Amino acid sequence: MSAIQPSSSRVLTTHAGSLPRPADVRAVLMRGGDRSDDAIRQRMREAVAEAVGRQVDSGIDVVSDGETGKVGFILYVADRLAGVSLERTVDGVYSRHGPADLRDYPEALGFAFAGTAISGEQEAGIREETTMLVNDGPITYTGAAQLAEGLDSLRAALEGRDVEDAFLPAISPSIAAMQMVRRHYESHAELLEALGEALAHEYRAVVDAGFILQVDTPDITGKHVLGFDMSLQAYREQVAVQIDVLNRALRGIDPSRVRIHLCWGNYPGPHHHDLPLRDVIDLAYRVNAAGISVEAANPRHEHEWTVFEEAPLPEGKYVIPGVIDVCSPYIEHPEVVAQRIERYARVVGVENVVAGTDCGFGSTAGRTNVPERIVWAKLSSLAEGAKRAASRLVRSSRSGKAAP
Amino acid sequence: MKHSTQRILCTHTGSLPRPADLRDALVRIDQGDPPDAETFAVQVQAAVADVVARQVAAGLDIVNDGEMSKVSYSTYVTERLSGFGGAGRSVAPPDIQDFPEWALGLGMGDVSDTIAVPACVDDVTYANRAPLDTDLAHLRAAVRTSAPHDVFMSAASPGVVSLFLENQHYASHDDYLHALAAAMKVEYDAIHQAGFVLQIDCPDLAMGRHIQVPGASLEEWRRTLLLHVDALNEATCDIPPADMRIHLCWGNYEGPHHLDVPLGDILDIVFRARPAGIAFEAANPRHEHEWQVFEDVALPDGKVLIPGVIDTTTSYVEHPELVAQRILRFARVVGRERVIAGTDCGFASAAAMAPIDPKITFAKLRAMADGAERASGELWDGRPAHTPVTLPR
Repeated sequence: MSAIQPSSSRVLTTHAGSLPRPADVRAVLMRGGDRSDDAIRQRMREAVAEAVGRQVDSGIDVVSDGETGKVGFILYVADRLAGVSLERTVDGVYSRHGPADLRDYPEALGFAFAGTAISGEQEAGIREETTMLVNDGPITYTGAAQLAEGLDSLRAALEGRDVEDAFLPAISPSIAAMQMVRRHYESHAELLEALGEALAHEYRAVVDAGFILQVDTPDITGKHVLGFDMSLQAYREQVAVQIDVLNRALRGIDPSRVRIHLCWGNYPGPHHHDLPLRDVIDLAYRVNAAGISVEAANPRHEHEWTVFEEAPLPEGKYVIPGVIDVCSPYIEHPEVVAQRIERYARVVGVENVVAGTDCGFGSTAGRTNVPERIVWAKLSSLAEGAKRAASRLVRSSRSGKAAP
Repeated sequence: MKHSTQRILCTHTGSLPRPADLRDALVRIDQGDPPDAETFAVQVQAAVADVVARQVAAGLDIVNDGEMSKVSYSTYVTERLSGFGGAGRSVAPPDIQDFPEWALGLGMGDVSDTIAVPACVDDVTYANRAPLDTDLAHLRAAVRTSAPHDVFMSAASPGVVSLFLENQHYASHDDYLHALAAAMKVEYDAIHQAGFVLQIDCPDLAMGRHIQVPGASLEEWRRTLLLHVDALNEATCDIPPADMRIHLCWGNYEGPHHLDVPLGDILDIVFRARPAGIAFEAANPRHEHEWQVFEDVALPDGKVLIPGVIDTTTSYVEHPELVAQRILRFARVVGRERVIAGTDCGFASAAAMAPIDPKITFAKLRAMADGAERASGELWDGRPAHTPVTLPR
């Protein structure tokens, strides 16, 4: 598999990582516990292959394992770290505060989460008790076997498949730390440092296996959840520390094989307290990652392509704007997708844009905002829109070059 | 109808969430168990006064009564028109039928159970003016207090009535349309004479494609569309075009919408409708791109666009900069004075269905007004609509 070398004759497509799990897989994940049983392992492998097949059929170029084997994009680390366990508790950052926009409109909760199976971290902050990570001992990485199984599953699923590349998401040290009740380490800084050292094993293994590593970093943008009452300056200082830890964890890894995912919480709420991207874009650029995936389709962030006009993308980086809203059942018109891509391409150059989705379609195994078949239809629309954008952008850049 | 001569004016589609007690009363009326008439009238009057004040406070320029007295934007006519009774077929969007698992999540299965749909079983006449006169009086009173820039009132088009209330009486669809036009003319004229901008709700001109005649070819359907526009023009023949607007939509429901007819396929017929203002969905992910149609098709003289810059099916509060970008796209193509900012559709097309929390609804309207102000700054004063990036060191 080659590194991403976005070519100016195409606009590549990808998504944010998670996809709806099949019902039986979801049941296994929600039940928790040992998964070494041969039948379960076999089923998980099949499910990864199905997820890859669906992505390829929908026209996705840079595919993932759909996070098929993960219960949630944060909580999965409990299975892979010594010194970390899961507990039902009222303690912890999320449950103390919850997203600030929903604090303004508590009556909106019923609307925002109606008709969906709420679970895991999406639920956090909404109910008094929720599942939290608890740190009760020294943290080390013990997930090598589970991770290797995941890497093997994805590798097997890709056999005979025509994809441009493949990626695997992993959580950032700080988002894990923020979702964690600290009982062992004396300070947050020590906890963060320990998580960085432990997760570095996972980051390296993903890249060594030949995949692109996506680090999920909602902690860079998620001020309305993680630091609503802080001043912008204090929040930025905190983010800068987090990024230092992340960069140490990424030490020695080729940045061109790394991308980060910025988001503001994958829930259909008002989002009126979301931090503007312009307030942290410089910090996001500091991460040793070439790719920057960011929400750019939903009505709170669609306008932010203008940020890249004034804060130009550094050399060697590319942007993965979300051109599909993962909270809406509307199937984006391919022309809407194309226009969104073109706005970015005109600012950062068509060779520096990969079309993506705002966030995952199943950030936790138990929750999807959109029914599965509409997910595939939305991804097909993404691919069709990318084709339309590419044909127009390439034509206009060629005619530009041909001009005397 | 006031235009955006010095800045971009703001309006919305019509329906707003009813207060809980009023919603319950409207549901009872719909189920044939009306509450005490006097209590109901008092509830409506208070709700209209409040909702007009709230629109003005949210920064809207062209306001209405929020359709407080109406069970839904189209079926309210059965209270006013003679000729309806029995049971008609109910219509469901075929895009949702393609994804039945989503319909379940929406509770769509329940809708037809709670909203009784009669049919046209006798001659249609405008038999009961009292609800209309009451609506006009309530709005007039509310406007005196809140003093908005301009005022509109909505009424159903002959075509949308024909879409939702099945014809079991007239010999042809065309005959039915003309009878509806003759009857609804009474309401249209009364709204105009009251000094309000008349908005005619015409989902039949867009949603009709995938709801009314999903099997027909585009050409066949366009012929039907011409009949609908003829009926509309007949019913509005005594009102100057500049005092009217129409609202097009593809159905105000959170669905896949992959069968929606493209705006470009119907625009030439839409232009034939007499009203000067054209309100239409332009914010949701199935129609946001269609501003581009106006690069290829010239807007006829006298017409004004009212694009939806707020999606009425999502609880996300639009960022004002996004609102400004959406307005600017239209203004750059057709000219700033020919754009009024609007919403995709109503926020409670039926009283019983308000998918977005009422407080968030008004936050979204505020975001529209803020966005219009940003767009106006750029269009009239050359001030950039977006906040510049100023990063601390």
